[in-house]
Amino acid sequence: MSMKPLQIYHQRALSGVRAIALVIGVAALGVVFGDYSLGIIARSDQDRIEGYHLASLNHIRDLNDQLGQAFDVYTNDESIGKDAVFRALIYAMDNSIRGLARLQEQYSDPVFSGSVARLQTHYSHLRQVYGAATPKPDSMASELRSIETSMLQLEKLHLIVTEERVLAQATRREQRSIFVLLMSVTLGLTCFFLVIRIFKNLRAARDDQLERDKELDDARRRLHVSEKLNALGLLVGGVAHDFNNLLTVIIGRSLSLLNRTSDSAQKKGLGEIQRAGEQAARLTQQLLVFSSQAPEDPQTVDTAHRLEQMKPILRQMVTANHTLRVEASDNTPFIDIDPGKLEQIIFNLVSNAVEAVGDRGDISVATGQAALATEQAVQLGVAPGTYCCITVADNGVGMNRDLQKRIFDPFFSTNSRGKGTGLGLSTVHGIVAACRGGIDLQSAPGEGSRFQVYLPASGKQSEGTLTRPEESARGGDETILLIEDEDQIREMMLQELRDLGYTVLAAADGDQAIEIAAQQTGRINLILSDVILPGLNGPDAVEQIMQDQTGAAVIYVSGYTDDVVLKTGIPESGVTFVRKPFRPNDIAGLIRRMLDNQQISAA
Amino acid sequence: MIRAKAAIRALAPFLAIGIALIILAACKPAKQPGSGGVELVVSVLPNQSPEQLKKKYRGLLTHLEKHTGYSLSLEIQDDYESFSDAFASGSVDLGWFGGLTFVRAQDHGAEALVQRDVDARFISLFVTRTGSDLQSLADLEGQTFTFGSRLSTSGHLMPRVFLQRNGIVPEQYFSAVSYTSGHDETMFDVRDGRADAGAVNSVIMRSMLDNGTLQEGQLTVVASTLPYSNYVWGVRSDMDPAVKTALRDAFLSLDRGSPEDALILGAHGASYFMPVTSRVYEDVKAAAAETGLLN
Repeated sequence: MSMKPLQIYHQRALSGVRAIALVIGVAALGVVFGDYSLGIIARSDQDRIEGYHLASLNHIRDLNDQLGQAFDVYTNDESIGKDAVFRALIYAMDNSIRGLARLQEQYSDPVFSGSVARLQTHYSHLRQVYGAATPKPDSMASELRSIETSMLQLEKLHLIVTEERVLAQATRREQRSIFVLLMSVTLGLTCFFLVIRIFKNLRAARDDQLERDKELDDARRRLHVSEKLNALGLLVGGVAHDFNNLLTVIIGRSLSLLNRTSDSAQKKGLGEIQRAGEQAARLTQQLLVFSSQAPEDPQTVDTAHRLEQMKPILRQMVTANHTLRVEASDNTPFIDIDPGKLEQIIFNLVSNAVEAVGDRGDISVATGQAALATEQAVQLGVAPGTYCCITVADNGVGMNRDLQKRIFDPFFSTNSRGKGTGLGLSTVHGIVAACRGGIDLQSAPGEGSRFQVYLPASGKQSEGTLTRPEESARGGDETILLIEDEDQIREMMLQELRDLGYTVLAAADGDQAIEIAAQQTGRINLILSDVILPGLNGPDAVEQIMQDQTGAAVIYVSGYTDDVVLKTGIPESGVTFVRKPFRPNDIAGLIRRMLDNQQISAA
Repeated sequence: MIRAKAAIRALAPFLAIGIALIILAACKPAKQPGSGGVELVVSVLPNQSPEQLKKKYRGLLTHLEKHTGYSLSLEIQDDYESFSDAFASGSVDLGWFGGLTFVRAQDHGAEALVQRDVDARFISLFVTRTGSDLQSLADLEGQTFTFGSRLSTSGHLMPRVFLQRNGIVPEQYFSAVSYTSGHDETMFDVRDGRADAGAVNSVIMRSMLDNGTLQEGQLTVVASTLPYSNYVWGVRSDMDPAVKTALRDAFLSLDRGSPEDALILGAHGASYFMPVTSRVYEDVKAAAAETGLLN
């Protein structure tokens, strides 16, 4: 199983968080490191400069002392300028001034260069004056004053520059802390917004997942409902089979008796029994339709007539608060379809409309003719031509485009829990597609929906088997093999067929039928067999019998409707299938026709 | 791609800050290096007649030009106010300020460059006519008093602050307070009896005594203020540092040992010039603020 979407999302979000954290971390480190290293450079630079100023001021202090002593010496002993003390002082001054010059060379700040140069100049003048054969005391005093002035100026400059540096540093520190603060705030805000974004994404992912879970739950529930309905359908199918057997007897026997009696009171009672039986048969058929087990039985069908017939059932689907209009246009063409499927189409569309309008609303069902031109036909995905159009419209909630796309998906349902299977419209779609028809859906939220089902018009203008006139029971003298496990039906048919003059061989199961057929010396013209039998089933038994009795016509009878049995077990040609319950007269007519055909083809 | 987007998103603020810094750096105008061809306008405090001032400053400006290689032109305004305005409008590069005019010009970008040796310990004197019986500040109560110019640091601001700090409000203490146009006028007014007492600049009084404009024994000093920094050579603070340094060095190089330089220094009553910062004038600024004369 692949990873859940939510896990993937979590992983993505986490990797995103990691990436962001990495970027922020690197940025923060960069800022801190940059600030730190700049700080170190600035500090080392600062230390160097402070060292220069301090060293200079030290030299200046020394020079100041030396000058002070020199003035003392000069004041005390004007005449002698060449004593040892004065000489030593001059040499000491030389050291101080050289020191200052050296520092200036290293640092070379133009602010100080002039003053240092003047110090050197005045000192060299002093040396010249002092070195002269007869030093002039006034000149010496003047040079000493000049040295003092330059020295004071230099000292003042150092103090000013140092002071400015201190102030500038304070400003820089302030700026730096503002910068760091700004960076921190920016980082903080970035983190904040990113975290919010991630949480939003995570929440969206969680909501998505919840929705998906809900959808999955719904699908599971619908599948469950559908499985239950399926089981119910099987049950109904089984019950219907038994009912059909019983109804065959009831209808057959009552008709038989009806033909024999001349008592009007009895005729009336028997007629009622027969009609009740027919009604029950229809009911059984409806049950099979709703359980989707009615056999595939394409016929030419008068849609308008069928719609009229369905009116009562449709009325039962709506409440008093619903308006149901059913309009079958006279020009509605006939179509080739299993009547049960047609009913399913209409039933499902109306059922959908009822759900769409809710407690109160208008629903209309109409049939009519539609000539689809090429353009329209292409849109519907059908061939151009004449179509029967079944329109089911409602003024209910309607659907948006997204919903319209999904409405025909199996198990898709907008119904609340447990109400629908989600199979209705997909069944419609399946039936219509199988008939080479198309569906047009017009809908908008709040404006209701209109389904238009286009089914190809049949070439024929009359209904098929069901509306044929009741046949008169014509008999014959051919031999018929009757295989039927239901004793009552077998007995009834035996009697009916014998009454018609046929030679009837009756068997209760497949093995017995094979045995009887083997003992039969003459020809068996027709085999009338139930499909489902105890032991060997009808088709298998008939197959064995046909090995000797080639050319016999075969009629299968069944109240059971499992498609698989019918399709796999019954050979394609020369066979007819009759569904229970049947009227003895109908089957007698069918037998006669088949025997007649047999003779024609034999001749 | 989530990672790439996240990275861009995370880096955006730094990018923005970087761009902002670059723009800021670009906006700061690059300064022209101070080399030859620099022309500067010089103006001085008009505390004497224009002719006298031109004569007084010719030597100094010649020295500065020779030392720096710049060409300097002297512009003289009619009064203190015009001088202040000229600097404020940015048409003057180098100026000689009184303490008060300087602290007022600081708001317009003035920066102290050098001062004379005497400027660091300046005092103002309270004088009476010799022979009157006014011998102390206490004797001056109810007498007439005259300051120098209203915008004079030594003739008005510092004497007034000194009086105020000694509990004397001139307008209440004296019977009449007047202002003269200069220190010499103040001294003549007191000497000639037009005012009973006055406040004057000690250096100017000294020089007037030296050149005979005033005779010894005509005026009596009854009090003096505490020392303060007064006159100053200032420049525009946005001046190229190299030009500033060159100008300062030209001032500092004046050496009283040289006869030529000694003449220039003598004309300005200085032994030598000293480097100075604006902070030296904080006292004057505080005094100006105290008396409401800062603006």
